[in-house]
Amino acid sequence: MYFNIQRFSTHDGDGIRTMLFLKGCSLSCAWCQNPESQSPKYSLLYDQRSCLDECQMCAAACSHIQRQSEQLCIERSMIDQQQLIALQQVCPTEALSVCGQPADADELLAELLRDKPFYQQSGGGVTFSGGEPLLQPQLVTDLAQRLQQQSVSSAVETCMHVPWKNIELVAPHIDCWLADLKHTDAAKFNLWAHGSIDRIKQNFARLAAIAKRLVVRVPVVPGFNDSIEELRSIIDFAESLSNCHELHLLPYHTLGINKYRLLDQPYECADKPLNKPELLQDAQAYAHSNTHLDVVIRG
Amino acid sequence: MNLNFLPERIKAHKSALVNIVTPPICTERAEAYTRAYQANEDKPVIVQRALALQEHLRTRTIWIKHDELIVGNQASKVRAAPIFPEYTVRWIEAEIDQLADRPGAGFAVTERDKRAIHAITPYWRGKTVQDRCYGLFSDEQQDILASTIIKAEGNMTSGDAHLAVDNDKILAVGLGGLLAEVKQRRAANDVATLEGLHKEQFYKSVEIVVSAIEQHIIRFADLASTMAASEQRPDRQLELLQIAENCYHIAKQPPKNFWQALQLSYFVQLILQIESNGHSVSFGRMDQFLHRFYQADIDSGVLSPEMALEMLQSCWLKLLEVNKIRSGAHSKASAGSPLYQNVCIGGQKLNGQGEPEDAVNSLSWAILESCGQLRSTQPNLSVRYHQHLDQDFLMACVDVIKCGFGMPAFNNDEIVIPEFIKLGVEREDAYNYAAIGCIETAVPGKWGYRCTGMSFINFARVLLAALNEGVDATTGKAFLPHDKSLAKGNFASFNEIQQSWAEQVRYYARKSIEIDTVVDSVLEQQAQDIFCSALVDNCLERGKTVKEGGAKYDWVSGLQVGIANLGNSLAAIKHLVFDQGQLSQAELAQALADDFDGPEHEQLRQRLINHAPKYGNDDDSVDLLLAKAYQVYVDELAKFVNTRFGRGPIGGGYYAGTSSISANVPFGASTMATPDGRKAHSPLAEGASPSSGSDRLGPTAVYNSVGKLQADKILGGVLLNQKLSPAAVATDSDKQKLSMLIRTFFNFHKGWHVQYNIVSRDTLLAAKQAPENYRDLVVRVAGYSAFFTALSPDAQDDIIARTEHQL
Repeated sequence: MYFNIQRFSTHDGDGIRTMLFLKGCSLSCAWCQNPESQSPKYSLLYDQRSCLDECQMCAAACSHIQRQSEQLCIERSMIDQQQLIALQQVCPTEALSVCGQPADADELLAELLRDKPFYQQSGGGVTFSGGEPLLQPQLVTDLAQRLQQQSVSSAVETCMHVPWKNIELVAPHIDCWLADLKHTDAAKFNLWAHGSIDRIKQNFARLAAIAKRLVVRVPVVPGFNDSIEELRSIIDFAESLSNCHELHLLPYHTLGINKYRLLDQPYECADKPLNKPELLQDAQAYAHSNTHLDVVIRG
Repeated sequence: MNLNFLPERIKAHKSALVNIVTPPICTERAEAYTRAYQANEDKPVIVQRALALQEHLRTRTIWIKHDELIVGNQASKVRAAPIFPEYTVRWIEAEIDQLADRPGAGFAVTERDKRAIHAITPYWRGKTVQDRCYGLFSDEQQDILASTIIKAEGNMTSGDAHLAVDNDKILAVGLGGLLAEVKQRRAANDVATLEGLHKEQFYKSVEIVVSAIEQHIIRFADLASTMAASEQRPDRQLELLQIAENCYHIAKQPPKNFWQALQLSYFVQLILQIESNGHSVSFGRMDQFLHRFYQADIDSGVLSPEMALEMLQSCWLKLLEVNKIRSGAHSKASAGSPLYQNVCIGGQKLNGQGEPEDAVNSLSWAILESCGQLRSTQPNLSVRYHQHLDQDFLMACVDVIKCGFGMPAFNNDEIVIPEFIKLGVEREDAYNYAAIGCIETAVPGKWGYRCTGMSFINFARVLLAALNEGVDATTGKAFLPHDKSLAKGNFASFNEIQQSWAEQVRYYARKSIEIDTVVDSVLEQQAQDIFCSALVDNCLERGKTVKEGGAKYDWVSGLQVGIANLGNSLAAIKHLVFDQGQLSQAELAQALADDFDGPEHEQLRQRLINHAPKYGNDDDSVDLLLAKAYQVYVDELAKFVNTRFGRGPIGGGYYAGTSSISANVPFGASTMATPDGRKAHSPLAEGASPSSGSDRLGPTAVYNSVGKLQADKILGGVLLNQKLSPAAVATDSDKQKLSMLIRTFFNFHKGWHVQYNIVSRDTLLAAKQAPENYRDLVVRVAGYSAFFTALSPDAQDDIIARTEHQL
C-alpha cells in the first residue's frame, strides 16, 4: 500500500525526483511528521476546517460517524477497513479523507515514469520513501528493477529497521541510499522511536559493503539528539562505515503536526522547529576536522 | 552580478514614480490634435495626422527631471496620461468628471483639464475610430459586443501597437538617413496613377513626421543646454552638456556611442507612444542592436559598466513614466495600467556560416543585472531560451527571479523558431524574433501589429451557451440558438455536449473575425501610424502603412480567456454526469442557475471541484478533453484571414493566443457559475495556466498538462504563470534544480512561455484566509514538503514569519 506520489521533489536525492511514499513503518518515532504513514492499512484523516455545515454525506455512508452540530463525531476504533474503503471519495470537500491506496506495480510504474524527461535533464529519478519502504521489498525491487531497465535511477529513504534480507533484495537496483541513523544509544533510541538501534547498526555495516552510494541522514530532534556529544557519536559511527562519505543533518520541523490532529492522535514532541544553527555548524565543523565525511545541513 | 545595489538617484527617481498613486492627465496632445485636425480638414486623414503630430511636438511641454541620463517625456507632467481623442471620446466624456474616484485606477483631473476636455470632445463625436466602428457594425455584432462575450473595446479605443520596430535601421542611418530615404522614394513615386497618389500622401506624411521629430529632439538639446547653464553641481552640469550634445547629434545623425544609441532608441519608443496609444510597444532584441555600441565604449574605456547600468536604469524609469488611461471597464482587464514595453534578451543568432549560436553577450548580462537591481514593472523583461543557452546566464536569470518581481519571463526558441519557419517566416527572420508585450512573439521591424491582442473571446460563456440552448447565462440572449440543454436533460451523450461546444465556438470565432475586420478597416482609414510604419519593413518600399499591408509579415491572434475553466467544466460534466451518473443534467443546471447557493448546492460544488479531474495535474482525462475542445477553435480560425491578406505581407492569417493578461478577472466578473465549481463573477483561470489552486501535483505535472495543448497552433502565446515558494530558490542546489525544470519544460515539452512569481508574505496570508484558492501552494524543507493550506495555523504563521524574513 502507498499513500502519496510527490513529483518535483528536490531534497531527496540528486536532481528532480518523484517520491513514492509507501505505507507502514517498523518504528514509531515521536517526532514523525508523516504519522499517517505508520499504519500499513487505510487511515482516516479529518480536517474540520473544510467540513461543510449540515453535510451528512459521510454520516450517511458510515454508521460510526455522526454529525453533532458543527463537529463530526467519529468513532475511529469502530470503523473497519471495509468501511474506510466505502468512505473514499465520499466527502465533497475532502475534509474527511481516507489515506492509502493498494499498490499496483504497473500503474505505479506508469506514474513514476511521467517525469522521466525531468529526471534525464537533471540527473534525478525516483525515491522510495514512506513509512518504511523496505517493509514492501518485493514491490520496491520490482519497481526499481523496471525503472533501471528504463534508465531511471532509484533512491531509497529508509529507517534501516528492517530484516537484512529486505535490504539485500532491493540493493542491486538502488543507486542511492538515504539511510537514517537517528541515535547511537540503544535505550534512548528505543524510548523515542520504539525499535532496536543494534539492528540498524548491523544493517548499516552490511549495507555499507554493497551500497552503490550511502548517505547517512540524521533528523536532529530537540531533547532526543540535539547535543554535540550525541551528534559526534553519530558522525563517528558514520565515519566507521566503509564506503560512506556523506551525512545530512536534517533539523527538526513541525510541518506535519497538523496531521496528528487530523488522525486524532496526541503529539508529544516539541511544537517549534529546531532553532540551533550553531549546533549544526559545530557538528559540521567536528566532522570536517575529524572525519572524511561531507556533512550537509538540510540535505 | 550584484543585485543588491541601486544608485541613489535611480532610487530617488523610482521612489518618486511609484509613489504617484493618482497620476494626472495631460490634455496637451488632445488640444494640439484637435487644433491641427480642425485647421486641415481639407487634407487626407493621414496628412492631417502628420500635421497634428508635428503641431503637438512643436508646442508641447518638455522637461528633464530627476537627474535622469535618458531624457524625453510623454506628457506635460510626470506620469501624466495623455488623451487620444481620435480613437474615442465616448468614455472620456462620460467618465472625466469622476476619474479621480475610480477604484484602483484613478487619475487626478483638475478643473482646467475638465474644461479643456469638454471643449474638444464635441468636435470628435461621430468622427472617432470607435464611433465609426459602431457605424459599421451590424446589430448582431453590436449585441454580441454589448454582451461582452467578445470584447474589442481596447482595439477601438486605442491604436494597435503590439510590435517592435526596426531599431537596427534607425541606429544605422539615423533620422536624417530615414528622411533621405523617404525623400528619394517620394521623388521616384509616380503621382500620375491612383496608387501613386495614395503613396504620395504616405510619403509626404512620413517626411512631415520625421522632420518634426528631428526638431523635437533639438528642443530637448536646447533645454539641456539651458539647464546646464544654471546647474550648480559640476558633475550634473557636465551630464546635462553631454545630454545636449547627444540630442543635437542624434536629431539627424546616427549615434556614435552607447549613450546616444540608447537615447535614440528611447526617443523612438517615446514617439511611437505619442503618435498612438496602442500598448505593448516593444524594443525587440535590445542586447543585440545596442551591443556594438556598448562593447566599443566599454573596450575603449569611455564607459564604465556601472555607468552603463545607470543609463539602462534611467531608460527603464522613463518607460515607467509612460502612462495610458483606459476606460473604467477596460482598465480592469489591464490591472495597474501597464504598458508592456518589452525588452528581449538572449536567444540565438546566425553566424557567418548561417549556423545558430548563443546570442548572450555582455549587454545581455548588463540588461539582466540592471533590471534585477531596479525591480520595476517596466520594462517587461523576456529572455529567449534555447537548448544551448549559457547555463551561467540561466542561473543568473533564476537569481533575478528570486528577487521576486516576476521577471524575467522566458520564451522558447525551440518552438517559436521552427513554427515560424513552418508558417513561412524566412529562416534569418525567424532566428531574430523577439518577445512583444507580455509573451507574444514577432520579428522586430518586419511584422505588423498585434501578433496578439485582437478581440477577446470568453470561452467560459461560450460553453455555458453550449450547455443551455445557446442562451448566454449573463444576458439571457441566445445568439446561436439550439435545442439542447442540461436543464431539459436532453443531451443524449457527452459527445453531444462536445458537438454543441463546437457549434457555438465556431460561431463566436467567426463573429470575432467579423468584428476585427470592421475595426481594422476603420483604423486603416482613420488612425494611420506614420512614424511606426516608416520603421517597419516593407512599408516605405511599398508606400503603404502597416495597416494597408506594408509589413513583411502580418499574422495576428485574438485572445481566448477561460482555457482551464473550459477543460475542467467539460471534465466535470463527463465524469460526474455521464460516466458515473452521480449527478443528473438537471441537477447540475439548477445548481448553476442558483450559483450553487444553499448547503446542498455547495456540496455539489465541492464534488465538482474535488471529485472530477482538473487540468494541470497531468491527467489525460481532462487535458485531452481541453486540447480537443480548443482544437475546434484553432481549426476554425485557420479558415479566416485579416484585412491585409493578399495586399503584400507574407501570412495575413490568424492563430490562437492565450496571453490575456489580467482579463481573466473582468471576464470572470461577467461570467455566471460554471460546471468546474467556480462561483459566478469570480475570476476565470489566467492564460493557459491551471485554475487557481487546482494543480496539486507540482510544476512538472503542470508542464505535462500544458504540453498537451497544441502550442504550435497557439502562436499568439501559451501563457503559464507559476508560483514558487521562496524555499524553492533558497540554495544553489534549489536554483540549479529550477533551471533544470525550465530546461526540461522547454527542451522536451516544447513549452511556449513560463514566468515565475515568488510567493510573497501577502500571498501566504491570503492563503491562510481563503485556502480554497491556494490548494496548490507547496512549502518545502529538506526531505519534506507539504501543502501550505494543510498545515496547522501555527505552522502557517511560522512560515509566513520566515517568508518575511527571507524577502
